[in-house]
Amino acid sequence: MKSSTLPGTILSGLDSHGWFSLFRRGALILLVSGLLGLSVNALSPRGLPLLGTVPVRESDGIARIGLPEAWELHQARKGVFVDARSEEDYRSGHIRGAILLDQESFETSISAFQELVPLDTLLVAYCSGEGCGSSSEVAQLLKEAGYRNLRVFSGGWEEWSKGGYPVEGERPRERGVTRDQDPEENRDLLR
Amino acid sequence: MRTGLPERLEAGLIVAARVVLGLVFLSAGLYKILDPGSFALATANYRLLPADWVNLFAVVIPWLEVLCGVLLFLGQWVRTSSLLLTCLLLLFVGAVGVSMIRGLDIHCGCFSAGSGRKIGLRLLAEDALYLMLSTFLFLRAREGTGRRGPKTVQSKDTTVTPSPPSPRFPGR
Repeated sequence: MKSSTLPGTILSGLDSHGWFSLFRRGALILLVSGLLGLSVNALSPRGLPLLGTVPVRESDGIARIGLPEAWELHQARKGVFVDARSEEDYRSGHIRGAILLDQESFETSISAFQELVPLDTLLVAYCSGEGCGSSSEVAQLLKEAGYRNLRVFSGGWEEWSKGGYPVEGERPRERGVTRDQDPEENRDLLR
Repeated sequence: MRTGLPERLEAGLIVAARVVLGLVFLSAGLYKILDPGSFALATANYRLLPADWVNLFAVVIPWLEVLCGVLLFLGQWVRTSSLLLTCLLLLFVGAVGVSMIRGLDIHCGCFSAGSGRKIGLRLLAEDALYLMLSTFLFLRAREGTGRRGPKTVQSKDTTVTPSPPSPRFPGR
Protein backbone atom coordinates (compact mmCIF):
# COMPACT_ATOMS: atom_id res chain seq x y z
CA MET A 1 0.00 0.00 0.00
CA LYS A 2 1.33 3.36 -0.91
CA SER A 3 0.67 6.38 1.15
CA SER A 4 1.60 9.96 0.84
CA THR A 5 5.00 11.05 2.04
CA LEU A 6 6.28 14.53 2.29
CA PRO A 7 9.39 14.54 0.17
CA GLY A 8 11.35 17.72 0.24
CA THR A 9 9.58 19.11 3.25
CA ILE A 10 11.13 19.91 6.58
CA LEU A 11 9.53 16.80 8.00
CA SER A 12 10.89 14.35 5.53
CA GLY A 13 9.83 10.82 4.95
CA LEU A 14 7.08 10.21 7.48
CA ASP A 15 3.93 8.60 6.13
CA SER A 16 1.00 7.38 8.14
CA HIS A 17 2.72 4.05 8.76
CA GLY A 18 5.83 5.93 9.77
CA TRP A 19 3.84 7.80 12.40
CA PHE A 20 2.36 4.54 13.62
CA SER A 21 5.82 3.02 13.92
CA LEU A 22 7.07 6.13 15.67
CA PHE A 23 4.34 6.03 18.31
CA ARG A 24 4.72 2.28 18.76
CA ARG A 25 8.44 2.69 19.41
CA GLY A 26 7.79 5.68 21.65
CA ALA A 27 5.34 3.64 23.70
CA LEU A 28 7.90 0.84 23.94
CA ILE A 29 10.59 3.22 25.19
CA LEU A 30 8.15 4.62 27.77
CA LEU A 31 7.21 1.11 28.86
CA VAL A 32 10.83 0.01 29.23
CA SER A 33 11.64 3.23 31.13
CA GLY A 34 8.75 2.58 33.49
CA LEU A 35 9.72 -1.04 34.07
CA LEU A 36 13.39 -0.21 34.60
CA GLY A 37 12.54 2.68 36.91
CA LEU A 38 10.14 0.67 39.05
CA SER A 39 12.41 -2.39 39.20
CA VAL A 40 15.53 -0.44 40.14
CA ASN A 41 13.53 1.59 42.64
CA ALA A 42 12.19 -1.58 44.25
CA LEU A 43 15.66 -3.12 44.54
CA SER A 44 17.60 0.01 45.49
CA PRO A 45 18.22 0.86 49.15
CA ARG A 46 17.61 4.50 48.11
CA GLY A 47 14.27 3.62 46.53
CA LEU A 48 11.31 5.93 47.05
CA PRO A 49 7.85 4.95 48.28
CA LEU A 50 5.46 5.08 45.33
CA LEU A 51 1.97 4.90 46.73
CA GLY A 52 -0.10 7.11 48.95
CA THR A 53 0.62 10.65 49.91
CA VAL A 54 4.32 10.80 49.62
CA PRO A 55 5.92 12.99 52.24
CA VAL A 56 8.80 13.95 50.01
CA ARG A 57 9.64 16.93 52.12
CA GLU A 58 9.78 14.83 55.24
CA SER A 59 11.86 12.01 53.82
CA ASP A 60 15.03 13.57 55.18
CA GLY A 61 13.73 13.23 58.75
CA ILE A 62 13.90 16.99 59.36
CA ALA A 63 10.81 18.56 60.92
CA ARG A 64 9.01 21.36 59.10
CA ILE A 65 7.60 24.16 61.20
CA GLY A 66 5.12 26.92 60.47
CA LEU A 67 5.17 30.61 61.30
CA PRO A 68 3.83 30.31 64.88
CA GLU A 69 6.51 27.81 65.89
CA ALA A 70 9.21 29.77 64.10
CA TRP A 71 8.17 32.97 65.85
CA GLU A 72 8.05 31.19 69.21
CA LEU A 73 11.60 29.92 68.76
CA HIS A 74 12.79 33.33 67.56
CA GLN A 75 11.15 35.15 70.43
CA ALA A 76 12.51 32.76 73.03
CA ARG A 77 15.94 32.90 71.36
CA LYS A 78 15.96 29.15 71.41
CA GLY A 79 17.52 28.60 68.05
CA VAL A 80 19.69 30.07 65.33
CA PHE A 81 18.00 30.94 62.07
CA VAL A 82 19.90 29.93 58.95
CA ASP A 83 19.19 31.83 55.75
CA ALA A 84 19.62 29.46 52.81
CA ARG A 85 18.92 32.04 50.10
CA SER A 86 21.50 33.83 47.99
CA GLU A 87 23.86 36.38 49.51
CA GLU A 88 22.12 39.13 47.54
CA ASP A 89 18.73 38.21 48.98
CA TYR A 90 20.22 37.96 52.44
CA ARG A 91 21.80 41.38 52.25
CA SER A 92 18.58 42.85 50.95
CA GLY A 93 16.64 41.58 53.93
CA HIS A 94 16.53 38.60 56.26
CA ILE A 95 15.03 37.34 59.49
CA ARG A 96 16.58 39.25 62.34
CA GLY A 97 19.62 37.44 63.66
CA ALA A 98 19.74 34.92 60.86
CA ILE A 99 23.07 33.67 59.58
CA LEU A 100 23.71 33.35 55.88
CA LEU A 101 24.59 29.80 54.87
CA ASP A 102 23.59 29.13 51.30
CA GLN A 103 24.21 25.93 49.45
CA GLU A 104 26.68 27.43 46.98
CA SER A 105 29.10 28.59 49.67
CA PHE A 106 28.33 25.83 52.17
CA GLU A 107 31.64 24.03 51.88
CA THR A 108 33.69 27.16 52.42
CA SER A 109 31.47 28.56 55.18
CA ILE A 110 30.69 25.51 57.26
CA SER A 111 33.92 25.48 59.27
CA ALA A 112 33.43 29.11 60.33
CA PHE A 113 29.81 28.30 61.08
CA GLN A 114 30.80 25.35 63.27
CA GLU A 115 33.17 27.56 65.27
CA LEU A 116 30.31 29.92 66.04
CA VAL A 117 27.49 27.46 66.49
CA PRO A 118 27.83 24.31 68.64
CA LEU A 119 26.53 21.06 67.18
CA ASP A 120 23.68 20.74 69.68
CA THR A 121 22.19 24.13 68.77
CA LEU A 122 18.67 24.19 67.41
CA LEU A 123 18.90 25.42 63.81
CA VAL A 124 15.97 26.75 61.81
CA ALA A 125 16.66 26.87 58.08
CA TYR A 126 14.55 28.97 55.75
CA CYS A 127 14.57 30.22 52.17
CA SER A 128 12.31 32.50 50.17
CA GLY A 129 9.01 30.73 50.75
CA GLU A 130 6.92 27.62 50.32
CA GLY A 131 8.22 26.91 46.86
CA CYS A 132 11.93 26.98 47.49
CA GLY A 133 13.95 23.89 48.26
CA SER A 134 17.25 25.38 49.37
CA SER A 135 16.28 25.41 53.07
CA SER A 136 15.68 21.64 52.95
CA GLU A 137 18.93 21.11 51.10
CA VAL A 138 20.99 23.26 53.48
CA ALA A 139 19.31 21.54 56.45
CA GLN A 140 20.32 18.21 54.94
CA LEU A 141 23.91 19.43 54.55
CA LEU A 142 23.89 20.67 58.15
CA LYS A 143 22.67 17.26 59.24
CA GLU A 144 25.56 15.66 57.38
CA ALA A 145 27.91 18.15 59.06
CA GLY A 146 26.84 16.83 62.46
CA TYR A 147 23.93 19.07 63.49
CA ARG A 148 21.07 16.99 64.84
CA ASN A 149 18.61 19.59 66.11
CA LEU A 150 17.22 20.91 62.85
CA ARG A 151 14.00 22.49 61.66
CA VAL A 152 12.91 23.92 58.34
CA PHE A 153 10.64 26.95 58.44
CA SER A 154 8.47 26.23 55.42
CA GLY A 155 6.91 29.68 54.99
CA GLY A 156 10.36 31.23 54.81
CA TRP A 157 11.18 34.85 54.20
CA GLU A 158 7.94 35.62 52.37
CA GLU A 159 5.68 34.58 55.21
CA TRP A 160 7.92 36.08 57.88
CA SER A 161 8.37 39.48 56.28
CA LYS A 162 4.73 39.79 55.25
CA GLY A 163 3.69 38.93 58.77
CA GLY A 164 5.56 41.93 60.14
CA TYR A 165 8.05 39.94 62.18
CA PRO A 166 11.53 41.26 63.00
CA VAL A 167 13.76 41.62 59.98
CA GLU A 168 16.92 43.44 59.07
CA GLY A 169 19.03 44.17 56.02
CA GLU A 170 19.71 46.86 53.47
CA ARG A 171 16.23 46.93 52.01
CA PRO A 172 13.92 44.95 54.28
CA ARG A 173 10.33 44.94 53.10
CA GLU A 174 8.47 47.78 54.66
CA ARG A 175 5.88 45.58 56.28
CA GLY A 176 8.59 43.50 57.83
CA VAL A 177 10.43 46.34 59.55
CA THR A 178 9.60 46.34 63.19
CA ARG A 179 10.20 48.47 66.19
CA ASP A 180 12.82 46.29 67.83
CA GLN A 181 15.17 46.27 64.92
CA ASP A 182 18.83 46.65 65.70
CA PRO A 183 20.96 46.40 62.58
CA GLU A 184 24.26 46.52 64.48
CA GLU A 185 23.36 43.58 66.65
CA ASN A 186 22.69 41.20 63.81
CA ARG A 187 25.17 41.50 61.03
CA ASP A 188 26.41 38.85 58.73
CA LEU A 189 28.46 36.62 60.98
CA LEU A 190 30.25 34.67 58.35
CA ARG A 191 31.29 37.12 55.67
CA MET B 1 9.87 24.11 2.97
CA ARG B 2 13.48 23.00 2.87
CA THR B 3 16.22 23.54 5.36
CA GLY B 4 18.42 25.02 2.66
CA LEU B 5 21.49 23.30 4.09
CA PRO B 6 23.91 21.37 1.91
CA GLU B 7 23.36 17.67 2.46
CA ARG B 8 26.80 16.94 3.93
CA LEU B 9 26.58 19.86 6.31
CA GLU B 10 23.15 18.77 7.44
CA ALA B 11 24.35 15.19 7.93
CA GLY B 12 27.22 16.49 10.06
CA LEU B 13 24.88 18.66 12.11
CA ILE B 14 22.61 15.71 12.70
CA VAL B 15 25.46 13.55 13.99
CA ALA B 16 26.71 16.39 16.22
CA ALA B 17 23.21 17.11 17.55
CA ARG B 18 22.46 13.53 18.45
CA VAL B 19 25.85 12.99 20.13
CA VAL B 20 25.55 16.19 22.18
CA LEU B 21 21.93 15.60 23.11
CA GLY B 22 22.59 11.93 23.76
CA LEU B 23 25.43 12.63 26.19
CA VAL B 24 23.55 15.45 27.93
CA PHE B 25 20.50 13.31 28.64
CA LEU B 26 22.52 10.22 29.46
CA SER B 27 24.47 12.06 32.16
CA ALA B 28 21.42 13.99 33.42
CA GLY B 29 19.45 10.76 33.75
CA LEU B 30 22.27 8.91 35.51
CA TYR B 31 22.68 11.64 38.12
CA LYS B 32 18.99 11.46 38.91
CA ILE B 33 18.97 7.68 39.08
CA LEU B 34 21.84 7.76 41.57
CA ASP B 35 20.02 10.25 43.81
CA PRO B 36 16.26 9.76 43.35
CA GLY B 37 15.35 11.46 46.63
CA SER B 38 16.94 14.76 45.63
CA PHE B 39 15.29 14.67 42.23
CA ALA B 40 11.92 13.95 43.85
CA LEU B 41 12.42 16.89 46.20
CA ALA B 42 13.37 19.17 43.32
CA THR B 43 10.30 17.97 41.38
CA ALA B 44 8.02 18.56 44.37
CA ASN B 45 9.37 22.07 44.76
CA TYR B 46 8.00 23.04 41.35
CA ARG B 47 4.55 22.40 42.86
CA LEU B 48 3.13 21.42 39.50
CA LEU B 49 2.48 17.72 40.09
CA PRO B 50 0.11 16.27 42.67
CA ALA B 51 2.13 14.96 45.63
CA ASP B 52 1.14 11.37 44.85
CA TRP B 53 2.71 11.58 41.42
CA VAL B 54 6.02 13.13 42.37
CA ASN B 55 7.94 10.00 43.28
CA LEU B 56 6.63 8.00 40.33
CA PHE B 57 7.76 10.83 38.04
CA ALA B 58 11.15 10.93 39.79
CA VAL B 59 11.57 7.18 39.36
CA VAL B 60 10.60 6.87 35.69
CA ILE B 61 11.74 10.08 33.98
CA PRO B 62 15.49 9.58 34.57
CA TRP B 63 15.32 6.19 32.83
CA LEU B 64 13.46 7.74 29.93
CA GLU B 65 16.29 10.29 29.67
CA VAL B 66 18.93 7.58 29.82
CA LEU B 67 17.26 5.36 27.23
CA CYS B 68 16.68 8.23 24.82
CA GLY B 69 20.24 9.45 25.40
CA VAL B 70 21.70 6.03 24.62
CA LEU B 71 19.53 5.59 21.52
CA LEU B 72 20.50 9.03 20.22
CA PHE B 73 24.16 8.44 20.89
CA LEU B 74 24.05 5.09 19.11
CA GLY B 75 22.03 6.52 16.24
CA GLN B 76 19.13 4.12 16.67
CA TRP B 77 15.46 5.10 16.76
CA VAL B 78 16.66 8.67 16.45
CA ARG B 79 13.33 10.15 15.49
CA THR B 80 11.43 8.32 18.17
CA SER B 81 13.84 9.26 20.94
CA SER B 82 14.18 12.85 19.74
CA LEU B 83 10.37 13.15 19.67
CA LEU B 84 10.20 11.90 23.26
CA LEU B 85 12.96 14.29 24.31
CA THR B 86 11.19 17.14 22.53
CA CYS B 87 8.06 16.44 24.60
CA LEU B 88 10.17 16.20 27.76
CA LEU B 89 11.99 19.45 27.02
CA LEU B 90 8.71 21.24 26.33
CA LEU B 91 7.61 20.04 29.76
CA PHE B 92 10.85 21.29 31.36
CA VAL B 93 10.72 24.67 29.62
CA GLY B 94 7.08 25.08 30.64
CA ALA B 95 7.80 24.09 34.25
CA VAL B 96 10.79 26.42 34.55
CA GLY B 97 8.92 29.29 32.84
CA VAL B 98 5.85 28.94 35.05
CA SER B 99 7.99 28.71 38.18
CA MET B 100 9.93 31.83 37.19
CA ILE B 101 6.67 33.71 36.63
CA ARG B 102 5.49 32.55 40.04
CA GLY B 103 8.71 33.89 41.51
CA LEU B 104 9.89 30.57 42.94
CA ASP B 105 13.45 30.42 44.17
CA ILE B 106 14.15 26.73 43.60
CA HIS B 107 16.82 24.43 42.33
CA CYS B 108 16.24 23.09 38.86
CA GLY B 109 16.89 19.42 39.61
CA CYS B 110 18.38 19.19 36.14
CA PHE B 111 21.44 17.18 37.01
CA SER B 112 21.89 16.50 40.69
CA ALA B 113 20.16 18.48 43.40
CA GLY B 114 23.58 18.88 44.94
CA SER B 115 24.74 20.89 41.94
CA GLY B 116 22.93 23.86 43.47
CA ARG B 117 21.80 25.17 40.13
CA LYS B 118 18.69 27.30 40.28
CA ILE B 119 16.02 28.00 37.72
CA GLY B 120 16.52 31.15 35.68
CA LEU B 121 16.91 32.62 32.24
CA ARG B 122 20.19 30.83 31.60
CA LEU B 123 18.62 27.46 32.29
CA LEU B 124 15.65 28.40 30.14
CA ALA B 125 17.99 29.35 27.28
CA GLU B 126 19.89 26.09 27.66
CA ASP B 127 16.68 24.06 27.59
CA ALA B 128 15.54 26.02 24.54
CA LEU B 129 18.80 25.13 22.78
CA TYR B 130 18.32 21.43 23.55
CA LEU B 131 14.74 21.76 22.39
CA MET B 132 15.94 23.15 19.08
CA LEU B 133 18.38 20.28 18.69
CA SER B 134 15.80 17.62 19.48
CA THR B 135 13.24 19.21 17.15
CA PHE B 136 15.85 19.42 14.40
CA LEU B 137 16.67 15.74 14.87
CA PHE B 138 13.04 14.75 14.85
CA LEU B 139 12.38 16.68 11.68
CA ARG B 140 15.50 15.85 9.71
CA ALA B 141 17.28 12.77 11.02
CA ARG B 142 16.81 9.28 9.76
CA GLU B 143 15.31 6.88 12.26
CA GLY B 144 17.88 4.15 11.85
CA THR B 145 21.29 5.69 11.48
CA GLY B 146 20.91 9.23 12.63
CA ARG B 147 22.08 10.59 9.31
CA ARG B 148 20.01 12.73 7.10
CA GLY B 149 17.63 11.04 4.77
CA PRO B 150 14.05 10.49 3.90
CA LYS B 151 14.29 6.77 4.55
CA THR B 152 12.90 6.99 8.00
CA VAL B 153 10.26 5.13 9.85
CA GLN B 154 8.66 3.12 7.11
CA SER B 155 6.36 0.20 7.36
CA LYS B 156 7.42 -2.90 5.51
CA ASP B 157 4.78 -2.63 2.82
CA THR B 158 5.38 0.96 1.87
CA THR B 159 7.61 2.10 -0.89
CA VAL B 160 10.70 3.95 0.09
CA THR B 161 10.55 7.56 -0.82
CA PRO B 162 11.99 9.59 -3.34
CA SER B 163 15.06 8.95 -5.20
CA PRO B 164 15.76 11.23 -8.12
CA PRO B 165 14.60 9.83 -11.41
CA SER B 166 17.30 7.96 -13.22
CA PRO B 167 18.58 9.82 -16.27
CA ARG B 168 18.75 6.54 -18.15
CA PHE B 169 15.08 5.80 -17.61
CA PRO B 170 13.39 9.12 -17.63
CA GLY B 171 9.98 7.64 -18.18
CA ARG B 172 9.92 5.51 -15.05
